[in-house]
Amino acid sequence: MEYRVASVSSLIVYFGDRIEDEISGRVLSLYEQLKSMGLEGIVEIIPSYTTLYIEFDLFKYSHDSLFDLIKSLRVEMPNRSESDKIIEIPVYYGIEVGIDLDRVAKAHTISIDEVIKIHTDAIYRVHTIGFCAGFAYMGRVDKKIATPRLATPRSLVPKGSVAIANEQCAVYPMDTPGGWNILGRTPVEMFDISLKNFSYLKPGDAVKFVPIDKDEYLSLGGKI
Amino acid sequence: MSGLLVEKPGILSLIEDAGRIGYGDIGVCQSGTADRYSAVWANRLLFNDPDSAVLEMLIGNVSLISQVDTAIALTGAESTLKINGQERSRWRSHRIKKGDRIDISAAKKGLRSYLSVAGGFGTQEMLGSRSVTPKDKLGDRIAEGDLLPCSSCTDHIPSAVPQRYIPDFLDVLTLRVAAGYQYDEFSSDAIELFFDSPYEVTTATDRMGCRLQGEAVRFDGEIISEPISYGAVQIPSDGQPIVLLNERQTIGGYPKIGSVIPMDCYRLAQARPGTTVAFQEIPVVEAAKITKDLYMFMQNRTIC
Repeated sequence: MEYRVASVSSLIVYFGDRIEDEISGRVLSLYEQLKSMGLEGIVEIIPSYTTLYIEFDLFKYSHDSLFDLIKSLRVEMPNRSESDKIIEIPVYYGIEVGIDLDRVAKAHTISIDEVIKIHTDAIYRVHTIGFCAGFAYMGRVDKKIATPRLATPRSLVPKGSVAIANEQCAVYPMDTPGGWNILGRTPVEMFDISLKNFSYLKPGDAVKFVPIDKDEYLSLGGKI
Repeated sequence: MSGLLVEKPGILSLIEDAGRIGYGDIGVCQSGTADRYSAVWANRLLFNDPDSAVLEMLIGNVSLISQVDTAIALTGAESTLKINGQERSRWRSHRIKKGDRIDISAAKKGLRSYLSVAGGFGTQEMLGSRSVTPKDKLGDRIAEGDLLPCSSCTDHIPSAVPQRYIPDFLDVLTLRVAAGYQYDEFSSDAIELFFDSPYEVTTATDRMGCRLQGEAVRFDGEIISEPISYGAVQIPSDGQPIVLLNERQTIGGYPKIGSVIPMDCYRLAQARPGTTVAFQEIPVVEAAKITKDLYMFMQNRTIC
C-alpha cells in the first residue's frame, strides 16, 4: 500500500496494479472502515478498482498525517461470501429492450437464453461508482458472454438499461449517451434523491440480476 | 417565497453554491461555483454566508424582474449591470425594490458572472447542496418564467469590494500545479515539455473541464480508472492536457500529472478560448499554504 498526492487537499492510496477481486476487496474494506468511522475533516472517500481516494480538510490534515492514520488502521478482509446480503435487481430481458442480446449471443455462438442464463447466474460485486450519479461498475461478467464496448457509442441509452462491457456490467441510472451492450431493462430506480441512500447500490454491494417477464416489468413501473 | 423572475435566462445560468461534497462514492460530482473567489465576494457584499447559493451566468445576457424588496451584487466576468436601465457598479451591493428590472449584459472579459441576493437564493437543497448539476439530473439551468426564490430584505447597507481584491482577466495565465498521481511515470522529457510550453484554452471548455492545445505530452502505458480530484491535469491519448473542474466525473482512466491549485482553477474557469496558459510546478507544502491562506481569506475577511 502506497499513497500519492492527488491534489493539494487529497491523496490516493494504491493497493495494486491489476483489476482483481482480492485487490478490490482490500480497497472496499478500507473504504467501509473509513466511511463508518465518520472522521471529522475527511470530506470525500471514493473507491475504485485498485485505489482509494480521500479528500481532506487542509486545516485538519496533511497528506502525511492522513496516511499515517490510514496505516495505523488494521485493514481486515471481511468474509463476504457467507454473510453478505445479496441485492436483487429484477430485469426484463426482452429483445425490444435488450437490443444487443442477439448480437452478444451471435458473437459467442450461443443462444439468447444462454446469454440470459449466464448473466443471471453470477453474483456481481460493485467495485466503484462513476460516469454519472449512481452508475455502478460491477464485476465480473463471465468470459462466455463478455463483449467489448460498441465502436461508436449510442447518443441515448434509456434509463434502467442493464448492460455489459467486457467483464463488467452496469445499470444506466438515467438516460445518457453510452456504448455498453444492452441486455435488458430494470424498473428499479438506481439513483433518486428520495431513496434512503440516494443510490440503490453502493461500493462493495453484492448484486444478482433476476429475470422477470414483460407483465411483471410493466407492473413494477417499467417502461418500454 | 417571492424572488427574482427570469425574463431572459442567458446561455447557461445555474444556481450554484460551494458544491455537493461527500457523495463522490455514489458517483455524484461535486459541482459548485466555477469561480468560487468571485462567488464568495458576491455573498460577502450582502453579509451572506460566503458559500450561499448564487446565480452563475456564462457570458451573461440575463434579465430578471424582482418581485421583492432585496439587495443584489454582481461579481466575476466584466458584464455591465443595469438596474431599471441605469448602469450600476459591479463588485458593489445595490438595494432593489419590488418591480425593479435587472439586466446583465454579455461579458466583455471573463466568462462567468455571479449574482447574489440578500440571504442567498432559497432553491431546493439536494444532498446538502443547492448546486445544480444537469449531468446528474440534479436540477437544471434556469429558464424564462422561472422564479428564483429569495426572501425580502429592506435594511441592507450597501458595501463595495476594495479595488485591490478585484481580479483582472489576463491574456496570459500561470497555473500552479502540485505534482501527483502518475507524475513519476511520465518521462522527464514529457514533464519538462509540459512545464516549459505555452498552451492555449480551446473552445472545448466547460464546467467539466478546460481542454488545452499545445505541445503534445507523451505517456506510455495505461492506467486503471481511478478517482479524479479538482484541478487534475489529465493527459488523454492525443497528449493535449485537460484541467478537470467542477463537473468532472468522479473517476476516469487517463493519466494525470498533478493538480492545479484551487485559486488558479478559479482563474482558469474565467479564461476565454485563446487565453495562453503556462504551468508552473510548486511544492505540495507551498500549495497547501497558499490554499489555506486563500480559504481563510474567503471565509473570514470582513468588508473594508
